[in-house]
Amino acid sequence: MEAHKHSSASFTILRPKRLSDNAEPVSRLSHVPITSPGSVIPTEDHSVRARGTLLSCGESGNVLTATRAGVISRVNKLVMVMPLRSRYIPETGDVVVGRVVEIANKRYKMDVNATKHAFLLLTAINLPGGVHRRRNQEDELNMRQYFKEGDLVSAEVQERRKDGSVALHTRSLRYGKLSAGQLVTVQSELVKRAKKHFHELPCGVHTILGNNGFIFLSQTRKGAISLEMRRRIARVANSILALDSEFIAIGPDTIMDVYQTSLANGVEVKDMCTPDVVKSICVGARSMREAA
Amino acid sequence: MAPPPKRGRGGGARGLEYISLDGLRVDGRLHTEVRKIRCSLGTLSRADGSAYYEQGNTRVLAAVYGPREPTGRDFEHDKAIVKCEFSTAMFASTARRRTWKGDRKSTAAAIVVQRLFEGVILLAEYPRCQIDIYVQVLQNDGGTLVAAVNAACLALINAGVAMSDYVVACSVGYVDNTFVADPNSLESGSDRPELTLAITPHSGKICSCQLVSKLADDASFESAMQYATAGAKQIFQVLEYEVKKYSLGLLDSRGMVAL
Repeated sequence: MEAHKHSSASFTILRPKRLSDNAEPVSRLSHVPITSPGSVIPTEDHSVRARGTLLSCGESGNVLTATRAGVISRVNKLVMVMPLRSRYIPETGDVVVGRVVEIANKRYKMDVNATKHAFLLLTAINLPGGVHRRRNQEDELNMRQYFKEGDLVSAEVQERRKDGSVALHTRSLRYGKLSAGQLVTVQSELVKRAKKHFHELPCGVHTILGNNGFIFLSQTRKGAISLEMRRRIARVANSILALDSEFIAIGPDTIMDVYQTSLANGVEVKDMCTPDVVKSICVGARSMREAA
Repeated sequence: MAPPPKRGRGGGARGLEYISLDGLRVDGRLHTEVRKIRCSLGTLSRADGSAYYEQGNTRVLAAVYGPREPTGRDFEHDKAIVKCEFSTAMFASTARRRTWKGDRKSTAAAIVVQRLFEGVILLAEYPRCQIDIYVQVLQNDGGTLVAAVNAACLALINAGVAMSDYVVACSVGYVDNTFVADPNSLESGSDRPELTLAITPHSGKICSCQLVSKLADDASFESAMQYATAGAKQIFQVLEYEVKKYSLGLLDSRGMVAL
């Protein structure tokens, strides 16, 4: 007792490291440079630091440290840390689905799941019917005719301004107000940037895979939605949520794989969200990660 | 005349012996040893980042929302603001509580957590944004602030918020004339000194340090700090390992495609 009463503390870690559980991916991905906040990133001379890194004073001069948990990525001398999970980071050209939250001076403020609201200028939208008009004050007063608060709109990222704000545009027939469908929100990292974001799935469901993780499902054909179509949309929605909870990249191929597996296993739509069912129907999609 | 009541060697209020003759504490730990830690990241699906953290029998859930558009009136044009809410479940301790947040202790803890993370999050990266941290104590067995800080740190990492370093907290109690790392509810009491320290493990900077009650004359503050730092380093090893494991798990299921 007396011996360790005020002795200067010498410590040992008594807990054994638990590397046994989940060791399989750890060994398979051992070549991937994973980092977390504060750890030093090994660099060569004249490296250029980019997003996710911080220059901090170490014992031997300045060292580059990571500010996020993620993967170190290097392009020539550029060093950055790509976070594995974060809010949506807009890039020019991304297809997004957003919700109008506010109508301000000549612009719509849209929630696109980013750190800030994006804005859609009145001059950056196509007026309905494709009419060409001078955008005058009358239009500004009638902005609610086109989009109201709460409307879902598909749009494209026009640019990221220097101050970090994001401008959208809908100047194409593909973009515009969305209706008669269902919105599914997932983590934005799971939607890859691809050539095509508007897909007609073989089951007759039209999907808009927004890069911001907002996915809009609707019917391919115009007209009233039948009960069978509603079931299909619900099944696609639950397939997407299953992929989201398993953190598997979401694309038309993986969605349809889960969809077909759930049909083949005879899983009802309402049962598709329980963890064990999710695991079993995502097996096929999980194996597609290398092919993708 | 009745003889004076016999008391344990430790002479605690309940006549409890806090440290046995072989130097083990009431729950069988050594005096330098922290409790068993279990944690998992991404437990809540609706939050931007979340973590479940267990330190012995103290269980805490943390959720982070943001960086997002400010919900209230106040924002700063050149950096983000941090808001924190600390609450305790009504069933968290042996006596059922009447309130679950807003009492003096919760408010104090919330302010500590908020100040702490304001110093570590790179706020300038998120101008005109707000970051909300919600911590809920599910079970209280001492060291709730420590668990809250560690859980919030994991949740922020899970949310992908830029931070200069981890923040790891550890507390030190003083029973039977001995320092004990990470005291549980039996070992910590209102009448005993307790030091709660939060450090950034890589750079070794002190983020927060608070001491309740006066230390005994023969106990030095320096050695208390030493115990706390060493305890925090033990905890950090577990946290870093969990973050690494979680990251690899994510990479494994998604594949390297989206990078």
